[in-house]
Amino acid sequence: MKKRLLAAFLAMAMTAAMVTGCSTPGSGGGDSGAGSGSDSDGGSSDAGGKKRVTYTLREDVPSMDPQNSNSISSASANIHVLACLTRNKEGEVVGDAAETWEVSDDGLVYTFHLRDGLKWSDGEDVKAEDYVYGMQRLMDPDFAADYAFIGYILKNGTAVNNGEVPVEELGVKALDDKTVEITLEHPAVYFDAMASMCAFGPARKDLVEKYGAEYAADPEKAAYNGPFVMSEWKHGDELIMTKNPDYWDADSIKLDEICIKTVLDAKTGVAMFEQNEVDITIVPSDMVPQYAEGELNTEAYFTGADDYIMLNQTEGKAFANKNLRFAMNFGLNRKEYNTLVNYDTYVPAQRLVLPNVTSADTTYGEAYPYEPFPLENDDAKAKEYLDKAVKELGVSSPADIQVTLLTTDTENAKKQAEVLKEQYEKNLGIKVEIEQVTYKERLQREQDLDYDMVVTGWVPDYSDAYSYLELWISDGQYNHSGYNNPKYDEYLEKSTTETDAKTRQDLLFAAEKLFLEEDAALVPLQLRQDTYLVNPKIENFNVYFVGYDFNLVYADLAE
Amino acid sequence: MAEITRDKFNIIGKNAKSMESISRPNIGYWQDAWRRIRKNKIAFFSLCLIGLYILMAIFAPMLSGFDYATQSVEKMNQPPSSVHWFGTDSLGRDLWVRAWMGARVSLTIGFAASMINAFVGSIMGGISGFYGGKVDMLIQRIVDVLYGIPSMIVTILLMVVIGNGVHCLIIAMCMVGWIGSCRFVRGEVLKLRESDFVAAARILGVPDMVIIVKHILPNVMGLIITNLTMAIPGAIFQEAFLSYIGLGIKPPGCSWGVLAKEGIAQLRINPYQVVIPATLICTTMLALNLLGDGLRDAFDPKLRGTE
Amino acid sequence: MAKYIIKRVLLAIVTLFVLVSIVFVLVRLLPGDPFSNPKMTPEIKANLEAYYGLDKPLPVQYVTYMKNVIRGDLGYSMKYEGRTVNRIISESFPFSADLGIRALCFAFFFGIILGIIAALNRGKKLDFFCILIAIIGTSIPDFIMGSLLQYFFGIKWQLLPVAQYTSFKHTILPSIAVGFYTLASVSRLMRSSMLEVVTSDYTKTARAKGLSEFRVTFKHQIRNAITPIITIMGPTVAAVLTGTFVIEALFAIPGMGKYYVDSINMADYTLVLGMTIFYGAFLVIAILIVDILYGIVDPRIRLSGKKA
Repeated sequence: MKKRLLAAFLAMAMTAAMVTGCSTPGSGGGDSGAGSGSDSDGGSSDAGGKKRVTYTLREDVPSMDPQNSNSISSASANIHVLACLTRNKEGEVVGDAAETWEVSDDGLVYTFHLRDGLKWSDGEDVKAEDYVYGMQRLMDPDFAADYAFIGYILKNGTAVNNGEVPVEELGVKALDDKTVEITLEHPAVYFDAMASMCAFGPARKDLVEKYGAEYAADPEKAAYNGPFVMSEWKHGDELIMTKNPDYWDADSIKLDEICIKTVLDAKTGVAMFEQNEVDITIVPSDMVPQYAEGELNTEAYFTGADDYIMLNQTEGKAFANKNLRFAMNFGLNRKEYNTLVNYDTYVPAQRLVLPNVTSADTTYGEAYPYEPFPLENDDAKAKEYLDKAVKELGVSSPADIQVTLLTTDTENAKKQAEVLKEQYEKNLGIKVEIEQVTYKERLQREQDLDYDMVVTGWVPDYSDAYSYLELWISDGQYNHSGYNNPKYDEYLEKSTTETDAKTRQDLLFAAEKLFLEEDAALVPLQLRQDTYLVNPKIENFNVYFVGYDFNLVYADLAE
Repeated sequence: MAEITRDKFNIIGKNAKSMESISRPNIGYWQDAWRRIRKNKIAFFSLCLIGLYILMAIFAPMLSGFDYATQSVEKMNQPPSSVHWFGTDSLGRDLWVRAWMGARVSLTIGFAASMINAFVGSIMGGISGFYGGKVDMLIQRIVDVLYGIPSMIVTILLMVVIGNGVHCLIIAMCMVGWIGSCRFVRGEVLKLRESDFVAAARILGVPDMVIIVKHILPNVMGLIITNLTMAIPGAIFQEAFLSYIGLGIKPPGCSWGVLAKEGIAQLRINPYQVVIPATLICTTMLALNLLGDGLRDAFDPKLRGTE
Repeated sequence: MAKYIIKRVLLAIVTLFVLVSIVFVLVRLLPGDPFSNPKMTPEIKANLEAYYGLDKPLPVQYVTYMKNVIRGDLGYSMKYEGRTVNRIISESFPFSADLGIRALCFAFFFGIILGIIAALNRGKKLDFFCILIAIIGTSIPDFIMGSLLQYFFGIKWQLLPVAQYTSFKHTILPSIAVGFYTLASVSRLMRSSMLEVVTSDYTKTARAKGLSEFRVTFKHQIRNAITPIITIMGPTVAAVLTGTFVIEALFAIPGMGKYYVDSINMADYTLVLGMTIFYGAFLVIAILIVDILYGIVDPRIRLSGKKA
C-alpha cells in the first residue's frame, strides 16, 4: 500500500510540475539566467536615448583575447575595444594609439610615438611596454597563439615562435614609455596597416599574469583602451560593448552601445531583422533575390576571400598534366556557376589576386587589369587542351579521366560541388566524383596532398597582392597543391627586398601571370561577397575585406 | 408433448479422432492478423499508400524524361507546371524525379535500419528481460554505454572508413538504434515473465526457448510492430538530421531529408520546395503510423475475436 | 532496496568510466585535429599541442585527463580559448534544461491525456482525432516543424517572437517544436498500453466489484498503463534536457546542443569529452531513476531480477 501511495504522490508531483512549468512566465531555470526577462533587446530602439546598434554573428565570438583572436569575428570585436598602434579605416591607415611614426630608409625599422595621456579602462596609463608585451606574447611558444604566423614578419619572429631564441630577442622594443620600435624581417610597405591588427595589439602584463588562460574571457578579466569597452558577455548569447569615455578620440565616437548577438542560423537573423530586433545581419545568398527590390536596404561587401579550385599537381595525379589544368580553366562557365550557386551575389573570379587590394597608389585591379581565363566556357580552347591532355595521359577518351572533387559538408559547399561536377562532365566529358567530408578532414587531406581537386579559398591578412601570392611559393607553408616553379619563387623573393613600390608590384604581377597564364596552377572561381541587411539609420558603418569585417567605431544612428 | 422413447436414439459408436477435433477452421496467428488488417480500412489504405510510394520510388525516375542531376540556369526555381510536375529546385533540377530518387534513399534507410534495429533489439531485449540477473545487468550497461557515445562521432568515423552513402548511414544508425527497442522489449518481457500463463507453461515443463517464442513473443509482437512503425520515421528523421548537419549521402544524390533541408531555405519565396518533400515525409509517416496501429491491434492475441 | 540502489550507483560509475574511455579514443580518431585551420603551420601546431599536453603519449594523456575528471575538472576548451568546459556546460545547460523541461511538460501532459482519451474512445471519431494529432507530431522533422512555427507565428502573423530566449513568450515556439515529437510518441504509447489494460482481468474485476467508472479508469487502468511511458522517459529526458541542436540553432538559444555539434565538428577533444561525460552521467542517472520508478509503479516487476 505504501508503494501505491508513493506512486500516486509521484504522479501528482509530476503533473504539478508540468502545470507550473508551463504556466510560469520567464521563470527560467531558476538561477540560470535563462529567463532574465529583460526587455532591453531590440535593435536601435533608443531605450533611454541610448544609441545602440545590434548585429548578428553566426558563431559566438571565440575569444576576446587580442593575441588569441584567430578569426574575423574575434578581430572585428577586438578593434572596437582596443586601440592598436594604427587604425585601419577601410584601407586608409591612420594613427590610433600612435600619433606619428617613422620608417627607416631600408623599410625595416618602424618607430611609433604614442599619444599623451592614453589610459586603460581601469585607469592605468597605456605604456609602450604594453604593446611590446602584446607582441612578445603573440610570438611566445608557451602562449601558443594560433595566429602567431602573422608575426613571422617581425625580426626573429619565426625563431622566437619555434623556441630557438628567447622571446626578448624579438624585434620589438620600448625605447621609453611612449616609443615603440619595431624591426622587421624584411621590408613590408603594408606593415603600418598590419600594425592595426589586434594580434599586434597591447596586452596588460599584470592582468595576464593574474588571470592566465582566462585573460579577457570575461569583461572584468581584461582592460581596454579602445573606443569601447566590453561590458557584458553572455557566452553563446550576446556580447555588449559600451562607449569608453576615456578613449583619446571619444568625442568622435557616436554610438553608446554595440551588441553582438549569436544567431547560428542566418535565416533566423533575417527574421529578427524584420522584427526590428537587430540592425545588421547577413542574408544567405538564396534569400537575396527576395530583397532585390523592396524597401529593405541590402548592401554587399567583399569579404576578401578568393575561392578557387585547388588542383593537386603532385607526380602521378591527373592534374600534374598542364594541359588538363588549362582545359579545366577553359571548360568552366564561371558566370553560370555564379548564378546557380550564389544567385549572382558573388563575383566570378578570373584571376588569382583580389582586384581590390592596394597597389602602389591605386588598386591592384586598376593598375594591372588582367583576364587570363574566360567568363563563360570557351569550348574550342578547352577541347584543344583536352585533346592534348588525353594524348599525354595515354587514355582513349576524356571519359577515362576520373577525378575526385573533395568538398565539405555545408550546404553551399555541396551546391558548389554539384554544379562543378555537372559542368565538367558536360563541357569536358571527364568523370567527376564528389567526396563530401568534414571540414577538418578536408584540411587534413589538403595538407597530406591526398585529393585530386578541392574548392578552397584564401582570406588575406593584409591588403597586398603578396598576401595571395605567397601561398604558392614552392616550399610555402600553405602550398598544398604541389605547385613548384623556381621562377615564381624568384619573383616573390625579389619582391620582398624591392623597396620601390611600383617595381615591386610589377614583380608580383609577373608572378601572377606566370602562375595562371603559363602554369594554369589553379582554377579561379569566385570572389566572395557577403550581403547584409542594414538598418538605413546607421551612418558611417563600414565593412572591410582585410583583418576585420564590421567596423562600427565611427558609426552613428540618425534620429 | 411427444414422448421420448429409447428407440428414437441409436448408438453410432465412438470416434476417437473427431472427439479431439475443433469444429471451426483453425485460423493461424498470421492469418488472423491479415484478416483483421484487411477489415481495418485505415490501416489497409495506409498499406496501399506505402506500396504506392515504393512503386513510385522504383519506377517514377525511370519513366520520367528528366534526370535527377541535370541542372539548368534557365529553369532555376520554377514552380510546379505541366512539364515539371513538382517544379524545379535552385539548380534547375526536376523535383518530381528528385522526390522519387529521394524516396528510394529514405525508404531504404528507413526500412533497413529500423528492421535491423527491431530484430537485434528484440533479441537482446528478450534475452535481457527473460533471463534477468547478471545477463540483464550486463546487457543494460552495454546499452547505457552505447547510448552515451555521440552518434555524430560514430557517423563521422564510419564515413571516414567506408565513405558516405546509404550503407554508411544504415550502419551508423544500427550501431545505437537497436537500443530503443531493446529497452522496450525488455520492459515488456519483464512484465510478462511473471504472468500466469508463463508460470503455467513453466510448471508444465515447457523449455525456455519455446516459452519465449510461443508464449512471450506473440504477446510482445504488437508492441514490437508498433515500435517498428515508429522506428521507421525515426530512422528517416535521423537521416534528415544528419543531412541537416551535412553528414548525409553523396551529392548529387538526395533523400527526402536532403530535399526538405534544401527547400527550407526557400520557404518564403518558393514554398513548394519544402511543401513537397515535407508532404511526402509526413504522409509516409502517417501511413506507417496508422498501419502500425492497425497491426498492433491485429497482432494482439488479447484482442483476438473482440471484433 | 538500498542495497540495490548502491549496487546500481556503483555500476553507473563503471558505465561512465567505460564510456569516457571509449570516447577518449574515438575523438582522437576523428579526421583532422583541434588546431587545423587553413593558416596553421606545423610549428605553431607543435606549440599548441605542447600547450594542451597533446604532445605526450596517449596513455599519459589519458591518465592525466582521468585524474582531472575525478577532481571535477574537465579542462579548457580548445576552440573557445580561455573557457573551461565546466564553464561552457554550466552556462549553456540551464538554457537547454529550461527548454527541455518545458518541452517535456508539454509533451507528457498532453501526450498522456491524448492517449487516454483515444483509448477510452477506441474506434470512434475522437480516437481518430487524437491519433491524427499524435501522428502529425511524429511525422514532421523538427527542423521543418521549427521553421514552420517560426514562419507562421513569428513572421507571418507576428504573434510571437521569432528567436532568442528571454521571456515566457520566447519559450513557447521552441518548447512546442522540441516537445511535439515526444508528445506524439507518448500519446501513442499511452493509447497502446491503455488498450491493453482495458481488456485486462483486473479491470473486469474492478468493474465487477462495482467501482465507479471514474475509479476504474484512474485507480486501475491509468496506473497500470503508464509503465511503458516510464521506460521511454529515461533516455528521452536525457536527450531533450541536454539540448537539441536544430531547434537551438533555429531559435538562437544559447544551449548545449550547439556546443555538442560544434565540438565534434571542430574536433575540440576536451569539449567533446566533457559533453559526453555530462550527457552520460545524466543518462545513467535518468535511467537509474526510471528503473526505480518502474519497480514502484508496477508491483509485478521484481527489482532483484532473480530467475523465478
